[in-house]
Amino acid sequence: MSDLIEISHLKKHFPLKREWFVREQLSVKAVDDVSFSIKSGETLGVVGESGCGKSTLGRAIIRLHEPTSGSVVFDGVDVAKLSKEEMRVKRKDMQLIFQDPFSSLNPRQTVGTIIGEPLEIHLKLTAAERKARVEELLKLVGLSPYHLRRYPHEFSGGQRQRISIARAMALNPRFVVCDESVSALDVSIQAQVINLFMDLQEKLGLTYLFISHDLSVVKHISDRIMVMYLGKTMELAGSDELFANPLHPYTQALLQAVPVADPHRKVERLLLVGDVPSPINPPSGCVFHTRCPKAMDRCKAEVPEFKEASLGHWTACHLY
Amino acid sequence: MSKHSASVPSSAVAELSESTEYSDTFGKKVGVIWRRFSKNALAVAGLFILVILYTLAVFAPLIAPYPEAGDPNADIFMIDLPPNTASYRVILFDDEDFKSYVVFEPVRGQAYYRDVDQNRYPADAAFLAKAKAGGSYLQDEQGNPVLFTPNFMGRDELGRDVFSRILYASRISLTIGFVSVGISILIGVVWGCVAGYYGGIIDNIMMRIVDGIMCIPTFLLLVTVMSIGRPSIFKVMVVLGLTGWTGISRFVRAEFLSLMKRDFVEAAKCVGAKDRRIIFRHVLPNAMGPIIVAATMGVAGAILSESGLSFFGLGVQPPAASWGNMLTNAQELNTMIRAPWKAFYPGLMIFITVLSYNFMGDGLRDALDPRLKNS
Repeated sequence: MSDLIEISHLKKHFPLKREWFVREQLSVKAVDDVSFSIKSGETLGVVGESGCGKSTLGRAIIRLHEPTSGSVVFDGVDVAKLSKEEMRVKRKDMQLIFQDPFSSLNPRQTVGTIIGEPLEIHLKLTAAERKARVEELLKLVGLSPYHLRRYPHEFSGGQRQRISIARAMALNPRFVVCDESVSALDVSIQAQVINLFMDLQEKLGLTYLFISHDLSVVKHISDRIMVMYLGKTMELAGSDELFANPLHPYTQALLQAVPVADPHRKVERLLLVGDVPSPINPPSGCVFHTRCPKAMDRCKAEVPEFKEASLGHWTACHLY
Repeated sequence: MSKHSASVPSSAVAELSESTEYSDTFGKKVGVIWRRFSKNALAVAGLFILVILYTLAVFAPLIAPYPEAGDPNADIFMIDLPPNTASYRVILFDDEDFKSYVVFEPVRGQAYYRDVDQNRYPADAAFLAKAKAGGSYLQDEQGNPVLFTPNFMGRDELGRDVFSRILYASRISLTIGFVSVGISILIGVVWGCVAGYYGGIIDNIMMRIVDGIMCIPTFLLLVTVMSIGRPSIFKVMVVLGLTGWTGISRFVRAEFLSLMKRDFVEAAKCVGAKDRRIIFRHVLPNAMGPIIVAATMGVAGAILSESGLSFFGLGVQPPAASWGNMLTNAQELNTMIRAPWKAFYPGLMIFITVLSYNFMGDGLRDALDPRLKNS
């Protein structure tokens, strides 16, 4: 399998309002020098705490946020450098599914209009063809064709998320970013929607970037998992490998925080102290050294390189 | 046979799935909106009253019993005549002289009569009896006394029929409200859209311009513009329209700023929608509520602004009437006590119009919002 999308040195900095008498321009480094690639048909999970830049990464890739620097090579084309109009056309290959199904659907449009909109924009179909396609999409996501005249407020959260998925699938995209797409749903609905994602991947050969803070969800759906902290990549490995053999101290702490349904299990938890530092002024060297139980002097001074510790298992830590 | 063996009628299911279009056509949408609107009794009442008011305004010359400027020869006898007073001319042989009087017989209250010099005398029963028996009425061809009624809204300080003037005034007042608010809405919505959508420096410049315009005292500007050349009703409408849009543009901009951050707008960008589609399909329909409310409020404001101008003699020029200048003519305390009908009826008309617009606006706002469909 070849790489469908290759991201190198992607940065997204949000400039802050310049204060008086402050010489330098401060900015929030939401995504700071992130590189990875996703193979065609693969699901890459992205995990991390709130505010670590997961969502910004997803949005920067499909250019809902303009990347500050770096390249996003999608199918041989650097989409970060496309003009606004070229990107608009390119969007039919890359889609985003939002977190909150209650705000991602226009309350004044019918479901048919919402799902039909991408078709209306990109394809020249007759009204009947479009309607047929919308019905097909509704069936694909497990809704009924007669739902298309209804408004979003008439549906439950899970159904709304299905509508949202149908809209994203309307143009047969090759790459879909799922930005916390199941976090707002009940656990039972979560399972249904995740299964829908996996079915769709099988049927349509999709490639996912699956962003979540829920490790068990990510483990279930992902082929590989990337761990982020303060806008930087900490570790990237195959799903099973990462859970079995986490290398980075941050990943270890993160995995130990996953609750296990066993009241008799006693484990020594690697508890992290303190809060996530400010992304405006991140720590020197390794950004994690302020909370790392294994921090060395070297960690404060030197930024660890993101390197392959074992085959297919990448990490950014001076220990390896 | 059994009442409980209810099944879903198959025709209903067929109806649902056989619809040919996934979104409603324009005609159907209007139908749906009308159905929702018609469930709101107050809104329908508002619309109904407005339709009546505009119809009366259009046909004012046909309906009004007297001309707008009145009839100076007849009116002189009827200054400040209370509503529902029978009045007629009578010629009496009095003190060896023929004298002409106008006799007033209110439905309730003291009858009186006036001579040609406007002197007013209480008409006691003896006088009325004498007038009816011995006096000779000014008669028409059928021999009936010439009555200057009906005047069920009374007469004003020049003896003109208030009802007729209310009708003529409605033409001006209703037009001012409608046209100036139309101009304001058009400019305000476009301005607010552009500022809110593009944001950043464009927004900053545009909003500072709005602040600048808001600093200009509208009323003084109106006075200035009116005093250049002849005051006219069109000038009033244009100036009110050109100064009234700032508030609306702020509403619209604020709505845009908040809606632009909503996920469904981002989703539209994500599927490749152009600016125009995002503005007209996604943001503007969701911003309709405040626009409609601002518009209905604006109608009231415009009618009242015009009355303020008329107060300084810069609005509608006499003898033309507007509700505003009728009201301001009757504002002295003395008048309010002696002839309250002169202030009451124009005030009532403004009140009814503003209220009808507000109810209709509320109903329209709710009818346009599909989330409120079943409530």
